[in-house]
Amino acid sequence: MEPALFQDPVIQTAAVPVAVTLLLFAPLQRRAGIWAWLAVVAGWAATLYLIKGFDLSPLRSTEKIVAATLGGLLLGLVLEWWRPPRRWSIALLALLAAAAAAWLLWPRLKRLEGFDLWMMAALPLGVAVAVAALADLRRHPGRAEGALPLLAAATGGCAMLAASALYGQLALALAAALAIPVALCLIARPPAYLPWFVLLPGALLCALLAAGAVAYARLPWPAFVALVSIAPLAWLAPLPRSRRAALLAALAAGAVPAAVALHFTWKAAGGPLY
Amino acid sequence: MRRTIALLAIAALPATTVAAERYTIDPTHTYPNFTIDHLGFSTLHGRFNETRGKLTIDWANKRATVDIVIDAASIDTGFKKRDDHLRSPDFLNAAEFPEITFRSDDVVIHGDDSATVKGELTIMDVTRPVTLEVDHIHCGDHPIKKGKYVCGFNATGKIKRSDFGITYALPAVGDEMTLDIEVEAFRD
Repeated sequence: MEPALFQDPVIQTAAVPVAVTLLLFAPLQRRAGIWAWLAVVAGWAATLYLIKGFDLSPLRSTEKIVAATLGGLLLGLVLEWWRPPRRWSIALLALLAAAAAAWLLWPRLKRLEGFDLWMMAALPLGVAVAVAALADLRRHPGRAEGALPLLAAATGGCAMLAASALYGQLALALAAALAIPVALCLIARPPAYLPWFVLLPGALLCALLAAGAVAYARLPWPAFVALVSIAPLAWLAPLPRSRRAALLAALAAGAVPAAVALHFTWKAAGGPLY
Repeated sequence: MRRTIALLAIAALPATTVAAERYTIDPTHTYPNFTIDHLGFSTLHGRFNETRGKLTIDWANKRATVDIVIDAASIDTGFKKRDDHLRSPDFLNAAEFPEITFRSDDVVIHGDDSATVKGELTIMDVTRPVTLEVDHIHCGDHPIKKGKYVCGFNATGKIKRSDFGITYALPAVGDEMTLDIEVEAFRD
């Protein structure tokens, strides 16, 4: 059993991922290049361990989201090594993301009918759009690095308001871990580009948490639509030459739908849990 | 000889069927209540507002069966925001697992007004054995609903939520929950 300090949700969700990522990222960046981003994975995994452990049984919605994220990590490692053609890989990722969402939502889908069923069945489409858009943003350095942490922070905030602290913590921990390379990009030497093995599990995690919060908690539909619009809207941001400026532009473009998502969630579900 | 035994067995069947009375739970007087430690400061009380099910009671043999279904989303602790949280994936995930069930075919009735119920409680697809102690069994004609025969009792027991994989906020929010179930059922 962990000490009382690690039972504090703020320590679990913010301090631990930041500390773990910071401790690993800086030394790894000099020697390992792109593999330094594994520090982000370690930071998020530390939070996962503290809040629910690595046990994936019984396989409920939260465990399915974690399992899909780990699957995304493995696939990301393969993509990073293999580097398939862009269009081909994005179409495949969208398909896999939709399949993961359908798997997550199946317990709800099988009990619904009529209009409610069609609405719920549209969620995997939203998940596919979010993942594909984030994957495509990776073409331009800086954009994906701005959009992913923003999506994670907004998803976490919305999930917290929408009555699932666990979903919220999982997303906010990713945002906290990503804050380290983003901060480095803004104030010091930019780290190597966002690799598949962070982008893919990160995008899957956020999109599935958002879809799960609609199906299993109280995230309203408009908030889900706004969340999955963050990455596509980052495309509309101007594309400066500087990677740092591109990151800031993506953050600014995504901030609007992020604020809209938080607004709708607050309106529907009320303020914070307690 | 075999034919005689078979005939005796068939003859005994209607007697057994007659002895076991069937009851339907009265959802307006059946509430599973629970208490749980809150951060070590106080004891939180809550209940489930919607329950349905069937009982069979064989008074002659002092045996019974229980089949209860509780609507997980009907949890009520008197504060909506907390109830929404308890329905979420952090705790009961009522949208994914809408029903909590308790089934028992191992009920032993002691004397006139107590019983031990050994059954299986299923929460979020995890089934664990649970024993409930029943007291204050009281049956009779309903004083208001004329012509209806009703049985009522109280049952108590303890479970650990971690046994059902509900581990969020452990150990800050208590693991052990005390169950206190009030039941009334009409004879069919």
